Amino acid sequence: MTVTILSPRPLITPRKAAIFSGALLVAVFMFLPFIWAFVLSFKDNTTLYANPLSLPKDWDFSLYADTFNKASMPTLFRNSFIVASLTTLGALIINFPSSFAIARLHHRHGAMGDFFYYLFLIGSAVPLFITLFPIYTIAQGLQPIGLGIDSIFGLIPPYIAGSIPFNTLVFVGAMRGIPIDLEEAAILDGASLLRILTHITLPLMAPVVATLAIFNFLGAWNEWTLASILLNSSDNYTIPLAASFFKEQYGMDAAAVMRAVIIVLIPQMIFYAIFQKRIVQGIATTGLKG
Amino acid sequence: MFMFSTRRTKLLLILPALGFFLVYTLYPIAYSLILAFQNKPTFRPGHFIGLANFVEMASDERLGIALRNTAVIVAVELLLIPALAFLLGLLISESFRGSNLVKLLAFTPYILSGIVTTLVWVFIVDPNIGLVNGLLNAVHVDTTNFILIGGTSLTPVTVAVIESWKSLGFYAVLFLAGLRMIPVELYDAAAVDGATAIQRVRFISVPMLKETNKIVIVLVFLNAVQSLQTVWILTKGQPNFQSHSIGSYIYSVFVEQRRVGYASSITLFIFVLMMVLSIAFLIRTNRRVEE
Repeated sequence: MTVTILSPRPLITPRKAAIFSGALLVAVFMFLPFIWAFVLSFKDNTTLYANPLSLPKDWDFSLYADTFNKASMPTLFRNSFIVASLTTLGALIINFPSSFAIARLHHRHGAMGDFFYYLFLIGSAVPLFITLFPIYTIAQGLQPIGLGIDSIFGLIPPYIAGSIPFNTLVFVGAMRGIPIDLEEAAILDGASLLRILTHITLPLMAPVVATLAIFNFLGAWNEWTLASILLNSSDNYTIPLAASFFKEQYGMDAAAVMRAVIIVLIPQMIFYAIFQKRIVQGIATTGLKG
Repeated sequence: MFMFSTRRTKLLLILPALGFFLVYTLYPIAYSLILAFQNKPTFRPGHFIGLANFVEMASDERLGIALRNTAVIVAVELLLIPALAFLLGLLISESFRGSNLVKLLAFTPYILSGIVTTLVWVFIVDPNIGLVNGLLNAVHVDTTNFILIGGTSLTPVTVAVIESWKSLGFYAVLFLAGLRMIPVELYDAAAVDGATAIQRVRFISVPMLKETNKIVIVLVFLNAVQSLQTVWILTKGQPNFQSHSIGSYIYSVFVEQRRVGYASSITLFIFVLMMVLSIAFLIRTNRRVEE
């Protein structure tokens, strides 16, 4: 019997089988490395080298507490959280008005708006390597005001600057997409520019602000290269920077490395699970325009 | 909005962002251009040496190896990502029970730090205690010459596989966005005409996603050329600078050898190469579409 599209659906169609096997493959391939890291984190070194494939003898979670304390995780989390949240705040505060100006104040100065739009977008094409040393020298200059070398606050200004291309692309795109009528009505009512920005445009942009906040936060949380140049003492490390020394720190104790990795992953996994929808949508909309 | 459209208000609103951009993007570009023509140790003043850095590049064997490794990374990623991301995009465009979970899992590596995801892979690809070699040994395959990291030949392939795994979700969402823009009527009409699911994908989805595919190829290329963190965590370029990518080699020249001038000239060279190749690719493919 051949199956045609008009026949009543059989229990297992080729389409269903393809979807199921594809989904299984994706789930296994994408997540297996994390599962393996988790399994590994309970093993001890002797069995690890003798038989890499064996399962751990017992699942001793007290090992985790040990690693947590040794790696001074609270300090790392605090540093990363301060850097990521201040970066996010600063990035939104500078990019919201500038994007508003580019998107909205176009009368007689349309070319000017376009000029800044493309100028800011060019930033995304610049390889990070070009800016590393110059940013290092700027940080040396900012040492007296506490934004210098080996200060977590020194990371924030370059991170904010790094947010400009992406935030401009998304903000300007979204602002051009909303009707101008509300803002014009507010002008007729005598509202000031500041009032329009904070009471009309900002509420309309709330979902976009939320998406950008997530991406700016993740960007700063994950950044490694610049942090590795600017930070020296381990008390000031962010999570990725500390993680890049896990291998040296624990030597060949692979299980300890994996425990440290799992510990730094868990909060981010929770963050991701909560904001998953917005993250996927954010990529989809920016991907369309980029 | 013309009331507020004075040049002054506009500049006032842009000024903070412009300030950050000038200091942290434009000034560094200008400074880097100067550094590229200098002999500049990191902590000492530099002096101009003309084109000497670029002459040195021509005879730098380590740079040659790094270029070759990067070419392998780019090639493998271009082989893997567009095809797999397209299939993944097709999969997550369907709604089925558990589709949200699949989306969640597929996208997880992308939002995590590259340092941490590479660490997760270290003990899969490690020649002594890794999962891959362990499994191969278990079925009695001789793995003496199958050294996924630290060896001289397979490291860039391993790097490319890890980076593909990490970014697959991102590119799949780009394809997903493209798929959503294809009118449903096209598929319906084809189904009525008796096209099978595979035919519908082959003759509707694939051609309609040509533009998305071009963007994906350029993005994969640009990211693969600059790959740094994966190599740095896996090998730091060991043994003897054999496994460096361009990115990790530049980083090593800057951080380990402390030769800022030379690092800048390599960066400049790579940047120009990246731009020329991407633009050439886009122009070429555009012409082909028009014909």
